[in-house]
Amino acid sequence: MREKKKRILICAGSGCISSKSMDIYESFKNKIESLGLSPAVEVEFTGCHGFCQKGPIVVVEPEHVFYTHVKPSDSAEIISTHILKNKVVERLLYTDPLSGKKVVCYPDITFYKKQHRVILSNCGKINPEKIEDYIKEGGYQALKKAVKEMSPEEVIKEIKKSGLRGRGGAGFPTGLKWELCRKTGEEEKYMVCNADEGDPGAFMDRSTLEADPHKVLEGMLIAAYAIGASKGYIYIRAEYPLAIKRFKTAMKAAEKKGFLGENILNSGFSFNLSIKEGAGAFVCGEETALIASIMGERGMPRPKPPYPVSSGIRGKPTVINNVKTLACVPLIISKGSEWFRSIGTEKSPGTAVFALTGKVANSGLVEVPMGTTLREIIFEIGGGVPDGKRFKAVQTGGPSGGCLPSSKLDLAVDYESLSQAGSIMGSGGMVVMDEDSCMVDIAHYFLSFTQEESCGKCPPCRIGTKRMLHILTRIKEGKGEAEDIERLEELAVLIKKTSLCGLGQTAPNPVLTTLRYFREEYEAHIFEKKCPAKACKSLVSYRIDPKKCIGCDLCRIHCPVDAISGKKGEVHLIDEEKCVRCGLCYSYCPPKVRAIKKVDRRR
Amino acid sequence: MITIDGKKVEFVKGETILQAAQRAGIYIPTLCTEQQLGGFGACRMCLVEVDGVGNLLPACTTPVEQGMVIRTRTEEIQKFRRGIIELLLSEHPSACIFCKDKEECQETRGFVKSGRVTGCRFCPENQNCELVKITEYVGLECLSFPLEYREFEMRREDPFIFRDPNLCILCGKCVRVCAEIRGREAISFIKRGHRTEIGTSFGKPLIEVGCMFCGACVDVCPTGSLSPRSTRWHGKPEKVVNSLCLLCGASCEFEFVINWGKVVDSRPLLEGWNKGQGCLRGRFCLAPLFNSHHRLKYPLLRKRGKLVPVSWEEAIDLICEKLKYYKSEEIGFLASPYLTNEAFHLLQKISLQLVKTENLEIKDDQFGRRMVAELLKNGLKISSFEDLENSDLIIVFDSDLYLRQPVLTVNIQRAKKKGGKLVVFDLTNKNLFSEKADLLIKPEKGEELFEVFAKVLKSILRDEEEGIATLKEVCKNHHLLLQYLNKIEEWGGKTNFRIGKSEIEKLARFLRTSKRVTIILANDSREFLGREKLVLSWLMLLLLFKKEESFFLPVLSSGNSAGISLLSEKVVKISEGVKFLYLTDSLPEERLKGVEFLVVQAPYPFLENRADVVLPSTVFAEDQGSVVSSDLNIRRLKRAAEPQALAKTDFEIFKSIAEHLEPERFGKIDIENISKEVEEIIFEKKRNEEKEWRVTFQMPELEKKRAQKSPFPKFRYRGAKLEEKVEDFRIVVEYLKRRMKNE
Repeated sequence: MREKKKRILICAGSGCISSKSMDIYESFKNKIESLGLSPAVEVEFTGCHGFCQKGPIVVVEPEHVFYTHVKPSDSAEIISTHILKNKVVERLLYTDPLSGKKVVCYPDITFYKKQHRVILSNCGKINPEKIEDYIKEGGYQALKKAVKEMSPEEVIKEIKKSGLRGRGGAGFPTGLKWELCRKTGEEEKYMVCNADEGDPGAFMDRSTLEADPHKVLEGMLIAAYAIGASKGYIYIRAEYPLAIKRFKTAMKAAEKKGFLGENILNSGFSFNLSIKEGAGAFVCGEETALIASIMGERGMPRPKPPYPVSSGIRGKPTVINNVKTLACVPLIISKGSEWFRSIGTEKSPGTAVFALTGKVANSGLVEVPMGTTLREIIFEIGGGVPDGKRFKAVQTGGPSGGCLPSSKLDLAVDYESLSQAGSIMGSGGMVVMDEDSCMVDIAHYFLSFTQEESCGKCPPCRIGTKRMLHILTRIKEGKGEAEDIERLEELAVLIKKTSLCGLGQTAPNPVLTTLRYFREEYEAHIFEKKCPAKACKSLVSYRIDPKKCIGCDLCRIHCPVDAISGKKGEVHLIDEEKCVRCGLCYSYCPPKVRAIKKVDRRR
Repeated sequence: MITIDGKKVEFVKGETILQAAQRAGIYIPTLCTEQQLGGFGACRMCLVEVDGVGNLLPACTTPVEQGMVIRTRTEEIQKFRRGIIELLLSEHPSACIFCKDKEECQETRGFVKSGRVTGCRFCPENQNCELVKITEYVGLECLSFPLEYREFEMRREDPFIFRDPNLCILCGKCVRVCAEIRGREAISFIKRGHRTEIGTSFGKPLIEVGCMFCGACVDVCPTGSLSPRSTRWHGKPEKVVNSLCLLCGASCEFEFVINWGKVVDSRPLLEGWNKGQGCLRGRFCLAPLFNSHHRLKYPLLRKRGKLVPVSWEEAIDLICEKLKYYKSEEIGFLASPYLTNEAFHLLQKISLQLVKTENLEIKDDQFGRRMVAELLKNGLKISSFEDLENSDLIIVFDSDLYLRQPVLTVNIQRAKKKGGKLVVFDLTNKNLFSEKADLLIKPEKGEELFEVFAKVLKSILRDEEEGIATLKEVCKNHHLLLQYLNKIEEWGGKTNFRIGKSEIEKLARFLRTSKRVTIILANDSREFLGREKLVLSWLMLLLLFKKEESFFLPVLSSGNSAGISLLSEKVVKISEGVKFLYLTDSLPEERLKGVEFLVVQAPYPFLENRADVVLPSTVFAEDQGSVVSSDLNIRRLKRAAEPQALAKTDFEIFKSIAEHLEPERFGKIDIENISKEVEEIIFEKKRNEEKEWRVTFQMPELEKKRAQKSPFPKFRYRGAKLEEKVEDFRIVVEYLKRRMKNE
């Protein structure tokens, strides 16, 4: 068998680009060319691998060697050792955090081993700016099949059979949505892709668009064909310039190939697509706010009904699907609904993509079949909590989601189970917290985000979240009152029940779930004026253990308010009165010494 | 059938739950809904429970469905409503709302003016606040949160409108009325989260963001957040009288707010034809104009070179003496276009029958009056203001409707919302109203305009099968017309012709495809168009193929121009050589040459140096009678306030002159009899329509002169310059002038 061509794939996702992966790409390219290896060895950039923590990432194919933290200067070594001598550069390989061993091959890394990549299948494999790469992977076959061999009704039927549910968070059956829109019978309809990923820390839509824009585009085209829309928008936030650029490139290429525009593939079906750049308001992820924003109005939700499927853009029937939902569509059409149903659970087939972050060894994009347990995601794929700390909670679904404790680790993740536990699937943020995280503080953090991002239209969301935040601030500062927990619960119910849109209706979730699972922490704050996690500034003091202090003087030098006294070589002392609890001394105390401790503040 | 709170209510398709409940007399509280604006779903007060639906639904936006079972005030809902009001009041001054002594306090201590509103007693919306009413309805008695004022900056920099965002509950009514009803979009929600407020782009003053100060936002504001600067501290009015504003020909219906026997505020009447909409002059200028300290209070006579107060008898005696002294051809009268029908009719009687002179001139607005006459003569249909919104195509000649008759833009906006198209011929390069146009045509010279007409006509004729035949039938001199059209190329043509093919085609298409067309002829067209007959003949040609559905609407700039033009028997200019001149409105001083005796009758002084007798007449809020609006409808003027000092209505003054001159001549002069007479004349004039659509083609006058920018409209009321009487108005006018100059 002929030996496969060598390919050097450099990750050009936003994360890796910010650590100069384009320079790495240039340097590889120049060196390969100057060495005359150019046709035999191919240098290419790809989209995000999802393991951004280890970036910049370089993969050498066909042997799937995975290099991490590559610098532009490393290109010479990789070429001389790996390409020319076929020897792996050990130094740059990934080290498994559990075993401490170097892992050579991409699929052998535990982070990837347990994943099942459907939506992200092409990410890191193809050049997102080349339509040919996508076509080579079977791209646009589904579109051909749909417009040439299937009627729109058949497409809808197939999607309905697959059981695909909206990946934006609510999990509404996609096929049903399309059917409702198609059945309105109006001539003018709109197909919209919602790429306004607003959750802090979530970046799966961004990565999908940056790494595989054609898949989303193809999904949109099939959706538009199915509902009978000839116009569409993709709403991408302007903070995603690379995604916008790559999607624009993809649109141009698809237009050239006849996949987009008038009379697509001579089928008589036409689709005109425009990119609408969002200004980055979290609420614009809400359907009706997104529609308002597309129409040039302030992104403010309106009550439903009427739902967008009957009255959306310009009052016409409109289907809005999330990026990941649409990315599933071409695969379902080409591989069949049965294949899709074989992944995931009965009620939620397919996969879910999570942006795994926080106190976890491996952070990045994780795609797993629905029904995978939280434990598998966090401890196997994520490699567990680092530094030997104890797992405390996992927050799913972004700022609108909830915090689940270790007792829920064996929860099989899907739409229903998460909402039963008080959280939501959301767009897929997953933040792992260890014992150092204070749950009151976490609830405060997420609520302050939703509070600031409220559009201000309805009082429960605009004022209610502010009032809740006040109470939380009070508790954090040790000024909590006995009735505060009850007040929080009452307000949370009011906000959930009376808010206009999903933002308000889910905003109290972090507070409600932390109250449900970590009530004792609230009580400790309120009644004992203590923060069990020692995270709330007002409730902790820093103390120097005289037995451990070696008098290195680092803490004294860095103290911004001169609260530390002591001579070099002698035991130091913190003046409680002066201390502002910035924690700088704590972080400067050498890890071997660890003389500075957080203790409960004395009142 | 649907069920609301156990009551069976008829199902009406398309209704919202709120509308159905209101029809059934069931109260559902709401803070963000307004009849004209529909539901918004923001305040969450109208949430109701519907069987089979998990969530609570806003009644104001949820359409009813057959068989729905709705509950509007369950314990849970009321609890939520209390919760929401509590949230609103946690950042809104509420001390007075929860004060147990509030009723006594209102009665005994009344209303207090203060720099910052800290309670209802200090609030301009005192006793009229919807927030207070709903707080009482839900039974909220105290707050469980600490108060947190938002500490927004109060906006005092604008004329007329005072904004205190701290009182705002963000119901969004002002934003919606501005955008949806007035078509301006001057204000909007700004910022996010808890800092959300109603503001302007970049926090600029209202005047810089296109606000025309119509006051619609002030009128819909449910709290004291938006208030009229001049009247915010007037408290609860003694009474409210419905009458008209006569500052322009629209005759909007207003309610006049009376305190201390004076008009202190004027608000557009919701039940009036103008449906609660007015403009900056009607909404904000009337009270300061009426209460101006310049008002004439006593009859004045020139004695030893000085004007001194005298009794009415003395003044009338002298006038009658002089009227008898001069020969009839030496006597002249000037009628103000602001006189009521009755007053003008009586004045005309005095001049024609008693004094026997034809020297009765009507001030101003010749173009408008001649246009009305011409329209009636040709049997053309005049659109009523209300019907304007049913037009599919509205063509406006000249674009300064925002200045001349702002309230018309509301009806145009309504038509646009229904899918109607707006074409604006901007003849004078003003772009206040042009920005709203679907098609804007800016001819540079008069001849260019007629070329546009000709090209459009050609395009229509090309597409209308029966075109030429119809044309021949209706146009006597069609040969001449066709000859002229032949010479005109369909598109392009002269190299300096700047109006493109697409515009011509678009206008032709609009004319062909629209069912109902209304042409609005603004006053300024005179400068540009030349003779009324010429313009009209061309417009009739353009509308030839939809004559049944063609309407005209002249825009007359002063109060009763239409009425006076219908009533006047002869249109004359006062001849030179007149020695006795009786003015009811101002006249340039150079026209006073040779005048020996000058009578001035007006609410405001003018020509004080020349006048021999000055008679204080009332302003229209102190007057009664009838007027004709520029859509030729008779409207009734009601006396809202008592005449100031010794001022008398024009009618009364004329009556005493007539009775003094020849006591028995007209019998007992009674306003009701005159009213009837007037009505008959107007009815006759309006009926006297020629039914046939006959056009005489007129060759356009090819004037080479460039169009002048027509002067900025003069806002006058019987000799008084509005800018001089109302300081805030001057600020607006001067800003607009500057803006136009720069553009």
